[in-house]
Amino acid sequence: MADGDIALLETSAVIDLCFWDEKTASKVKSALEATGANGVVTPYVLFELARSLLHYLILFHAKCRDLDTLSDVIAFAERLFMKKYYQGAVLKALEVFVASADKNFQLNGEQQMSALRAFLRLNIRRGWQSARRMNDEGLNSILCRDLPDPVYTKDGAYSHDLPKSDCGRRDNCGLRPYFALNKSHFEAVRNGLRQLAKRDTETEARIKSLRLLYKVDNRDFIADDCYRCGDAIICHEAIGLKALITKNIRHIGPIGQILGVNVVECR
Amino acid sequence: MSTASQTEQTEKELTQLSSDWHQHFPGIIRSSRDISAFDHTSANMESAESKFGLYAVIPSDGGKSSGVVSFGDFNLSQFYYGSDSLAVAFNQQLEDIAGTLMQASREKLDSVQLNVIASTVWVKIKELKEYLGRISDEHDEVITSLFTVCMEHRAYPVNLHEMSSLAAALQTLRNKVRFNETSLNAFEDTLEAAGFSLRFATQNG
Repeated sequence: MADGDIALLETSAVIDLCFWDEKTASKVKSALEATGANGVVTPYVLFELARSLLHYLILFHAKCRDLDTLSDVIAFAERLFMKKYYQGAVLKALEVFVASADKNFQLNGEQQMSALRAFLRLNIRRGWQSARRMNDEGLNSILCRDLPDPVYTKDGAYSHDLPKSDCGRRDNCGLRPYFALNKSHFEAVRNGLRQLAKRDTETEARIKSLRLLYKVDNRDFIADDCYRCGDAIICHEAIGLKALITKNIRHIGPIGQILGVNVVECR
Repeated sequence: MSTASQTEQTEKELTQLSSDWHQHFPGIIRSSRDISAFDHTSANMESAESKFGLYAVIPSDGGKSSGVVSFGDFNLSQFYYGSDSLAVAFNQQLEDIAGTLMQASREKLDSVQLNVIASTVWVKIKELKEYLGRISDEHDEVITSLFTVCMEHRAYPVNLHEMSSLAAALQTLRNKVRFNETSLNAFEDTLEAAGFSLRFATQNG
């Protein structure tokens, strides 16, 4: 497949396409159809998906074992205000489940909890599988590592062997050489982001981490710097492709403009 | 009769029973309680395709075993056939739904008759809620998937292709008392390949 026929799906778009409900997925499908390209993901995007939404769904699924009713689940979600990404995943899962679960099945409290756990199971297994099916191994200049599927344990919870402790070691991936090779691009991104009038804390952190990653090559690095630069790295992976599909236009849009990437928002 | 000849007589009977086993079967084991040595609650997920050997140990009067008669190898669903196990009852309910769908596919019914049968199927799927949380997480996933299909399709007329596809998906779970990831994937892949979505349809979606 030629690069011009490929659209890269950014993590937020993969989540909407492979998880949740039909309505959410249809927005990404429409954006893809508009580009006329085939949607793919890179191993880096998959890693970001695994350490974000998939990880939170696995945690939430395990937590549901000791929650008895949906009221307990809602109370639990409220208490997650200090962990906003986890809370966001829990609330979105609840939103989709509650909006569709009733439909005259008249489940009692216990049945609702079983149905919620099954809904999360389906999302964890099928969502991850669908995302993996779109993986384009050829688009892995960063040499991000391949991940196994989550495993269902006898305890009734999922376990996912996510080798985050190996992140940051220069020999474990190709991030250092990638940044060295494309230093001028990432410098341009950093300078461009610094010119923005309104910069949120995420952008500020990205500006700092970008410099740390390209300043000195051939050394171990802090894994969080890689994670903070996720949007910039994914955008850079999309150079030369037909489009980059995203829901996160606020962060991806300016970077795409600097790198000359055709960013398409799904909304 | 002496103890030795009693044992010999029992042995003969068991040997006869063993040779006639396949004629006697199914239905000899009427309840899961009859298989006291087999703890189905702790069986691992791979056991759906596993074979189990059934043996009778004939003790001598001294208490030491004097012989072992094999009845043969069986999979879990054969073991539980006709029993009161929830997993078997669930399996039979799926068979029932699949049977209804298959019959509708075979008889070349007109669209009105087809939709009458479809509504019966949706009701039967709805009744599966009684099994939620009572067998295993894998069973809950199957039920939730069927609910999703039901929610999406029950308000619309069905066609023959949809009914036979649903039957084909249910066939993948046939004779399985326990489901593993492979059987779940086969079931869900068949549904999705036939155009059924396993995504929840929200009220606005």
